[in-house]
Amino acid sequence: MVTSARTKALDHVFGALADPTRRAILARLTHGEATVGELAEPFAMSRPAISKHLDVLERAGLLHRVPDGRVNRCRFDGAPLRGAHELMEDYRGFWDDQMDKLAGLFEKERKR
Amino acid sequence: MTTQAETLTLKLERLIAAPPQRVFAAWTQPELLNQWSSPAGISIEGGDLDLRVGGHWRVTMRAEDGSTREAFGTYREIVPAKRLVYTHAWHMGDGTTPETVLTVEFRAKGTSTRLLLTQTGFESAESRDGHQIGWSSSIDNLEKLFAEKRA
Repeated sequence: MVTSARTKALDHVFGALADPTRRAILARLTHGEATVGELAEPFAMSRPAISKHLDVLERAGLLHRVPDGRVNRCRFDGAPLRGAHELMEDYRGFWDDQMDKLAGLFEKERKR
Repeated sequence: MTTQAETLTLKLERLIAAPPQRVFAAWTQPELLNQWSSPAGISIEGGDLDLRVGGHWRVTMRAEDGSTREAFGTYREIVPAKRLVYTHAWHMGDGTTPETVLTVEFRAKGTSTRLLLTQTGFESAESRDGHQIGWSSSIDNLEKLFAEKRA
């Protein structure tokens, strides 16, 4: 079913993003590819600890391991974020409405 | 436009489930630092600190491959339960000791603490990103330490 595949993909993306360390790794990768060794440097984390996070990011499709000689380079892929972004967009109206109400409230206060 | 100094600054924010005096203690007492301050998979081999303005601190970290690296610095500002400013340098093994300055602020938020960490003076974006990964992992440990205690 299309919807369940989409839901599963979203689960993986939000699951991957629900961790400060993984967000930090992604932020690093948006600046360019890196090997596991480079991500672990300088004593940022151990390689096995980094690799566990990379697995989660890879499952969400946010990261691809690209073979480069004897090592893999990690490459960021923003495409899976599209679904997450679309979901957030659905709530944007709610957020804007709340802000309009808040602005209206301040306006009333000011005029009082 | 962002300046280079801004891009080479690391800012992290986290809510920790303990009041500021306890989070400050976790940041300044060796036996507590041992429990959280090294990132995942890295252990603390030793160190010491002299918590007063102008006092020095140092810590040796060990990676799973057995390699070690020492970090060290000097305390610049100590305001208990509120603010801590200190220098942070690494012995890189090639003779260089790149130094950054850390400002850690502890703000009460109900019975918790809003932790604000600012680290300035990185030599490169790569170094800043690496520290962001490391700190995120260490602060995960800190978060868990207090979450377990509260539970």
